[in-house]
Amino acid sequence: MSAQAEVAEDRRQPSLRRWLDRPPVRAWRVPHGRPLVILAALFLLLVLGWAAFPAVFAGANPTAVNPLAALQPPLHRYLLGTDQYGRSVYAELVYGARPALEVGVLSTLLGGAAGSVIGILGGYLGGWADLLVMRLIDILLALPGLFLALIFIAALPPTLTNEILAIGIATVPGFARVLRGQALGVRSRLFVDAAIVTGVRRRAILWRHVLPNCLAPAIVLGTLNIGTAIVIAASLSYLGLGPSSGVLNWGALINSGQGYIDRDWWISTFPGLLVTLLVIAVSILGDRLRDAMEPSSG
Amino acid sequence: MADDRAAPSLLSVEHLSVSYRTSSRSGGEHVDLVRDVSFGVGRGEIVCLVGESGSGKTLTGRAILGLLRRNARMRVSGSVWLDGRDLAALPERELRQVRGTGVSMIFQDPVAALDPVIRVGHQVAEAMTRRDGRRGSRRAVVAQVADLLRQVGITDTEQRMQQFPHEISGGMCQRILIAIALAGNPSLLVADEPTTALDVTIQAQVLDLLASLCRERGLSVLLITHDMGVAARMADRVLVMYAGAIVEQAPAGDFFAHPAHPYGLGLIRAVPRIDTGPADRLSAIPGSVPEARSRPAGCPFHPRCPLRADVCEQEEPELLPLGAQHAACHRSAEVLGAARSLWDSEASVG
Repeated sequence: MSAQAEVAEDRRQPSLRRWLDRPPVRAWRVPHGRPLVILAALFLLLVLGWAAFPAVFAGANPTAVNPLAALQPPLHRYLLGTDQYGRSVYAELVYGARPALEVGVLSTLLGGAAGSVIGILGGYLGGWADLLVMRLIDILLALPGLFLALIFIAALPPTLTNEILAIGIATVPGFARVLRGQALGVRSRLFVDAAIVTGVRRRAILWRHVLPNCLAPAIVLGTLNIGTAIVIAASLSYLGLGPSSGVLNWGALINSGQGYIDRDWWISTFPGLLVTLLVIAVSILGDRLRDAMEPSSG
Repeated sequence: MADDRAAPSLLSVEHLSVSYRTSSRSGGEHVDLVRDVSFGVGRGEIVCLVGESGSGKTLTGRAILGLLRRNARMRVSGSVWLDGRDLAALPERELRQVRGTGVSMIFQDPVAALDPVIRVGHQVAEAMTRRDGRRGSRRAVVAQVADLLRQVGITDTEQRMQQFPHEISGGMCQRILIAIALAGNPSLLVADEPTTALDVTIQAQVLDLLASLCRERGLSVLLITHDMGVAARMADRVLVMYAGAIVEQAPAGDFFAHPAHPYGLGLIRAVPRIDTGPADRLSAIPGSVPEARSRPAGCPFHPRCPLRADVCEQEEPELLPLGAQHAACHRSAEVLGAARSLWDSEASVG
């Protein structure tokens, strides 16, 4: 009887209250017993903090040149030493976080959305258009992402927007391929037939049934792709093809420290290490997300 | 029931054939999966399509809804008249308007037939409002959905609507699917093994629901099943399918009393009965349904048939009338006679 009363009371509660009290979604739960995942999450949080409030972490003026303090080794007066102009390497890393994450996230969103749309449409509609587009995608997939981005950035003026665009385009083929496979699978599932036999329109089936059922792998792929995009961005900057002025940039920092690497190793090493750790952290979290969202594939 | 059958059929399937072209690697030949199937379903009638797995029952059901056309290798011919319109000849756009409103379908695996990422209430609402976008206010739609769910025997509708398919039982999923199928108020429901995935008590509930919907709404049902118990319980008329063709067609009472085809007889005798002595062994039909690619010459049933004669190996029998029944068997008169005398002797003993 008390259980019944409880249920009745539960139903009387406003929906917001019920929403707050609902059982937690698996992906959001703190992952017990996985220190690596916690570590990765904390590290990512730190970098996000850098990107959001760089001044809090590294002072207001990271680009101030101070020749007297040039090429100081780490842990003397500066945490990670200074570069050849006397700028704190740590401050440069902190200030480089925002453009790096911007490029990583925005290019993934852009390219991921475009690639997903191409893939889902191709997989669901099929036909000769699908065949044609997918062969084109196959050609693009044969090229490494960095090379693809390089082709496009070389044709465009070197601004942050264009860099995002170029890396975004390099992201498209991978998404298109994965999402096409997913859409093909969803299309042949019984609930699509069930929607057809009640007379639901093709377009409505695409939007309401096929697309939502393709989202989980897209989200996982997107997370993993952010790391790749950051590496491509750093690589482009390292090659001197990044946004030319104004923004601090990890790739450019690696490049500028290259001439000193035999003696003043810290200038190139720390940004390189940071990019590496960031990509690893994102991968770990992406894998964890996949485990949570696609239990069957794990 | 007799006057029902005299009325013009709601559904009339004529010379329906489905063939499949195998991939060029495995020969590229045409394999006939459904062969020249013709039957009708009257208004308010429950017709059971029975047969073993692989006999072409499900394909027939899907062909009626036009679900097979999406595959280039599949060839469907014949006509499917529903209310004076040939569904097999309709363009996709018009067919879509008939689906849901004229004819709808429920499936064997109710959990898989619901979209896992959408709340069930929305899925019912989608079927209900599909014709001209959202009709009426949100509240009105919710009320309509709740009303429909109550009609299929769901009590706590408000809570159910908010749930996802994985949160509810298979039997509940099938009720939801029935609600979805009925949302457009169709006159015919094709039910493809609707209770096979459910346990026996739930099975009975779902069947009762279908029967009562039939009575109350005048709904016609084409019930596809391999379960003779289900057929005996539900059917007004029985169609027996074997190797892609209909081999017997009869009013349910006649069929279960005295089938006119040895296959029908075998199917009935393969069902355990509570009223026969323990000494009786359950008789199974030896062998299995021949694969569509290697169907024997003559009557497709002859290798498994206890009554086969020489003619059975050479000539495929046609579906011919025999009293109220139709059977495709060279020796159907004998089968019928034997079944009748068996029935009489049992009746006189009982």
